Amino acid sequence: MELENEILYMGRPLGYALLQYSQNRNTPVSEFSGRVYELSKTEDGGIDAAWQKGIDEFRNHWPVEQEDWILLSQVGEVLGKTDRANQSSFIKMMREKFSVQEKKAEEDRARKEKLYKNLGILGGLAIVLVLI
Amino acid sequence: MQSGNTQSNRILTDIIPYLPGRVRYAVSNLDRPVLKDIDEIRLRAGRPVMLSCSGRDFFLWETGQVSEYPENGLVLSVDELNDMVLRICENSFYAYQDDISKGFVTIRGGHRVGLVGTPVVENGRIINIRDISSVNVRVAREITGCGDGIVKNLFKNNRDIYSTLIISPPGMGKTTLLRDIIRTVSNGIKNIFDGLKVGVVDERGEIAACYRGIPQNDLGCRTDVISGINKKEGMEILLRSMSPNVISLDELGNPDDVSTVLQVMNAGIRLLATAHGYDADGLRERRGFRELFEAGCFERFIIISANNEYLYELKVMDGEGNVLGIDRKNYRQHINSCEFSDGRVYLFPKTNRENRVYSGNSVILNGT
Repeated sequence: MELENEILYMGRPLGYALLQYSQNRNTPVSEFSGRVYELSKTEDGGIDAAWQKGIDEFRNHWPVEQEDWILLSQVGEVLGKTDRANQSSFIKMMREKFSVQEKKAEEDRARKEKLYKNLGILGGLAIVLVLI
Repeated sequence: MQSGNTQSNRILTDIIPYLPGRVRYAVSNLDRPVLKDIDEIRLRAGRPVMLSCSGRDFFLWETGQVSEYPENGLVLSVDELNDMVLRICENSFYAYQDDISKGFVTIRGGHRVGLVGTPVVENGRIINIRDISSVNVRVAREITGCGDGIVKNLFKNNRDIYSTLIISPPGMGKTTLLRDIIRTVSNGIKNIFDGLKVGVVDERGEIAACYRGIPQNDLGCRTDVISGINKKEGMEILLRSMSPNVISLDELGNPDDVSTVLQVMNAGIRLLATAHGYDADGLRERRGFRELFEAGCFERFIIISANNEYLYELKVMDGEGNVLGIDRKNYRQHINSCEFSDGRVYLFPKTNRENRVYSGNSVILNGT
């Protein structure tokens, strides 16, 4: 995780770390971090407020569950507020939580895929039955 | 010499964004003669905000006026101070934790922000400061040319200088003078001095004031800066990696640095350093300096002292105590004040007081 490197290894301030991350990648997350950086320059409440505002802006664009938004919001609340050791353990904990969410989404997708496949078969069978 | 306007602008651009909203408003509305003379902005939880201007204290009102008395002063809450510290740390405590545990953070422009509160101690070492109760913003000044009158006394020939120690009590401009000497030694002087490679160990970030790797203060074209590291390690790295002719550091005096300073001297590298004190004799017996004096580390001493309220004296001496040169100067236009019956204060430059009443947008309080 590049942002983790910027924070823990390079020791860069959060705003600069977000900017670096957004410039080195071209993913939806890097787009989000770039936007948070932009907002932090104008928001009086600092990165914390900018992060929440970023979530509000991206909520309609990303097809993720409410639970994931809550997790992302928690990241914004703690990022930058503690020392390096605590940041490290927090990032590790959040990564595990996101992994669990990813696994759940994967299972959900597989289950739905199977359901749609079964629906397809059943639909096909129904058509065949009607034709008979 | 830096103009008053430049100094005011530095305060407005470098310091104001970090201040709590109400203080930001009040300081922005201060009169320019006051703004340019601010040495320190002292913020204390539950106490009125205080400005130190040219050695005098004034209390800040919410409207941007000042008074010599604390009544009606702008009082800050603990939350406002904590928010300010978070802003100073760029919302990133992890990036500033070493600085916070030392009790100060240097912000863009080289201004030092001192913090006190309740230290959090782990294994006998301070790892954080919580419940921050006081913040002191110390305004840095870059005065180009302030050492011009004495720098030639430090040249051994056109390719070498004498190892020099600048001595003065706190707040007299040691770092400002050191910065100017570094710049001259690094750039050289046409037909007089060729210029040398200078390595600067900027432990507190006050000499160069590096922001994202770029020195905010001009230290000359042959200067390499290592910042945010202790002097001992900084000197060792410079010695190994940058082959400097001169190594420069601020506030020498830690006994742990002695062996490395001697190592630097044995490598034929000249030293430019500062120390808190009043004269060379006072330092000679102090731990951390005794060994350096015995080894003959310093060949020149610059003693900064204040002759009277607004005249500084820079005296250059050799190792035997002979005076080689004296330069007297008035760094800044000092302020005077007169007080109204309700405690309001009218401020004007001291040097103008005899000839005329200063009329330039003066601080007359309550809009009068």
